[in-house]
Amino acid sequence: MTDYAKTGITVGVVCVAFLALTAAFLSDSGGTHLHRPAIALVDTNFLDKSTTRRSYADMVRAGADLSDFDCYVCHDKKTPPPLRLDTNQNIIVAAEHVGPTTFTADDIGTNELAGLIGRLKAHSDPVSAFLWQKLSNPEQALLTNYKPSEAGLKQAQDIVVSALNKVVGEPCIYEAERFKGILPGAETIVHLQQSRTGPNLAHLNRLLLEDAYPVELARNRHADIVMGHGQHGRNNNCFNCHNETNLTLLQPRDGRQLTFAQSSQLCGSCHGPTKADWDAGAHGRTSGDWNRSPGAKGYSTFSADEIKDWSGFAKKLAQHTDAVSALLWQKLSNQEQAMLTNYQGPGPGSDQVQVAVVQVLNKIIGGQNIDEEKRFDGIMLRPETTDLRRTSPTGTGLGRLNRLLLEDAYPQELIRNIERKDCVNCHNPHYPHFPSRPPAPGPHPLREIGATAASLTSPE
Amino acid sequence: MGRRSFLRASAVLTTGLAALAASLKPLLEMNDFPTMERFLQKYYKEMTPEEMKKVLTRIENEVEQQYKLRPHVRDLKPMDGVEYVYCLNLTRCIGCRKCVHACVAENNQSRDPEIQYIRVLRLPDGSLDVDKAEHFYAPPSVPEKGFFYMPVQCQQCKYPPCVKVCPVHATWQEPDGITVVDYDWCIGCRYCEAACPYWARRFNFTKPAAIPAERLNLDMSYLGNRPRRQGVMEKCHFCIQRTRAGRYPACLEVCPAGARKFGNILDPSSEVSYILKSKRVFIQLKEEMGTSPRFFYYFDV
Repeated sequence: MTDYAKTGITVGVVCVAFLALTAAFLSDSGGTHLHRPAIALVDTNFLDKSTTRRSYADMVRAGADLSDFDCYVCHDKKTPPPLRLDTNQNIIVAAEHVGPTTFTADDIGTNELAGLIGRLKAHSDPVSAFLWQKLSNPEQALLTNYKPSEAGLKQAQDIVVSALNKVVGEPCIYEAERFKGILPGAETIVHLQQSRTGPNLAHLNRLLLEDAYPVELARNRHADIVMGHGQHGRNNNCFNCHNETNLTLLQPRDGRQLTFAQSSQLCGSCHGPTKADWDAGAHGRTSGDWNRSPGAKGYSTFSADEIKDWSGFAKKLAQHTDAVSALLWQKLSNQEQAMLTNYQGPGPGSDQVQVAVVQVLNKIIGGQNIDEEKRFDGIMLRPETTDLRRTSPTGTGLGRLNRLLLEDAYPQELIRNIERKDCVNCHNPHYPHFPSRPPAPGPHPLREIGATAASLTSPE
Repeated sequence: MGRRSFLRASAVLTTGLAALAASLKPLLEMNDFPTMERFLQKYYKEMTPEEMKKVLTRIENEVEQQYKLRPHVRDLKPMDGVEYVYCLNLTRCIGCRKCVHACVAENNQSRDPEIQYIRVLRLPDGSLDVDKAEHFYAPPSVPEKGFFYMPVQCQQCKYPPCVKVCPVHATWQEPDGITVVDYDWCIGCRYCEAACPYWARRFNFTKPAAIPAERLNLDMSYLGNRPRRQGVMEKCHFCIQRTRAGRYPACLEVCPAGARKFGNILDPSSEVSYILKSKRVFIQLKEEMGTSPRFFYYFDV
């Protein structure tokens, strides 16, 4: 065989081998490419940054209506409330502070009723499914066909309240699977540990329902006090912190008199090192700006992750009864308006609605000043917003103001940043170390409830 | 040349060409050819402000074409007198992984396969041996008794080994301490991934699966969270699009336990200065590597 032939054969063999390797590569015959299961998109509620409750101090700073917190509606100004202790020297919380165990129509607002009925109709969460099966067929039919009108409203209210009260009167409704993902309040966890039977059972069932429907159901005002301040149990006397002769004030051990808005100073009078950390910004949750120099604050546009209640938001826009929603509504095209009107909540086909809404929000942030006369009347603006609007900002500051105004206008629907938090925004003052271990994955280690529910809780 | 030789040579040549064509077939499936504009783009540090403006507009157009949404892409510059430091309180961390997911949402990472910058290690109490760490813990609830949690992400080293090994200078350290990657300059050699002692760099092995448009974060930055391409490296950049605008990183804001603290170490009144001065800051992770991380772990005592 000549050298020429040998070369030809070698090249031929190499080419064939190369072709075979190429074929093997393209057909992926080795099976080396493993396809990992996709990670499901995270529920935006999981990433909520604004889950600490709104404290009494926040409401004072924002100039909110505080008439609901007047202690002297019930108490006599001249007589300090008596304290009663049980045989273990634990305080007995007065019955008025435990509250009724049954629900009344007043516990569900008109707007919230529609939301509650919507959740029951969908019965996609285990608690709603549980309640739904407690209803008779005609009741289910009535709720299914519910349309907000005066006659229908009363009937629907009665059905829902009676279903809730039926459940309240049952044995403990708590099951881990049923309440998975629901953040319980401190009181709920205390009662879950202590009283799954007995006289407090109805109270526990009510608390569980309140936790399951934090927006729809009103929490018992003044009626969620559980005492557990300090692991030694010796700090449960109300008047260690409250002023017994003036219930609107707090009193640290040094005899100073503090308002509820200064409650962090009261906490700091015992918890000195923690207070020092808190003063330096090194204790607790933070959000907003690391750069606190004036004029340095920027803003960012909205993303869909920052809308925590799509259904509620879409509904408000579709109804556009308030001035801000009307402004957003008129920025939408006819087609987008039609999509929003027919919006049924997150799911297949909802992307376009979400994209449209996010675009409108961002157009507004980057546009002209939306702070027109009367548009934000009746909306509780946080101090940061009111401070900024006083400066009549332009440029970046204007974008920031527009964003803050939108966040304040939709406290339930948009995630908002709260820059400075008091101790009571995260800690239940009556039970500050509890709950430390809520049962759902990824929980807040402390009490965590939504803004509406928070605004209904009693002052700390 | 004889007829036999001619036929033989032709057969070899045809087979060779066919093999070559077959091996190039995957190129036909590529749909992310760089545009001429992108191909001719200058190195980040050499671009004039006008050129950068054009590049940002190009990126906005590309994103809009893909997602039907116009993003706001900026190239925020480091601030004078600012050096970022991150502090993480190991006593507080409950291992909930909210930071992991907030990071993915903020930074427009690929969702399939999902790229995550933060890994949360679960360690048994009383030990700091990372060999005993578990990445994939999945209990029904956290925190678990007997364990503590240590989130690890890019440590923004003062002496970053990843920067040293990059053959094309596609990654570098900025004056404010953030090590950044220019996704348009990266050649995907993965040397930096190998050099990083913290496994903090992530490579886009596949074309990043399109993020659902409604989940896209439209507040973007050139060196930060703009969508990446297949074959480029990415990593935590302390949410550069937020921090350079004066805001906290997304992982910090979402932390339910307040375990994460961030700020300017050159400002003596910042919380990070306070922590480094007054807390028991125990480690810079893998201190012995000489990387001098700007990420500090501490305990409440």
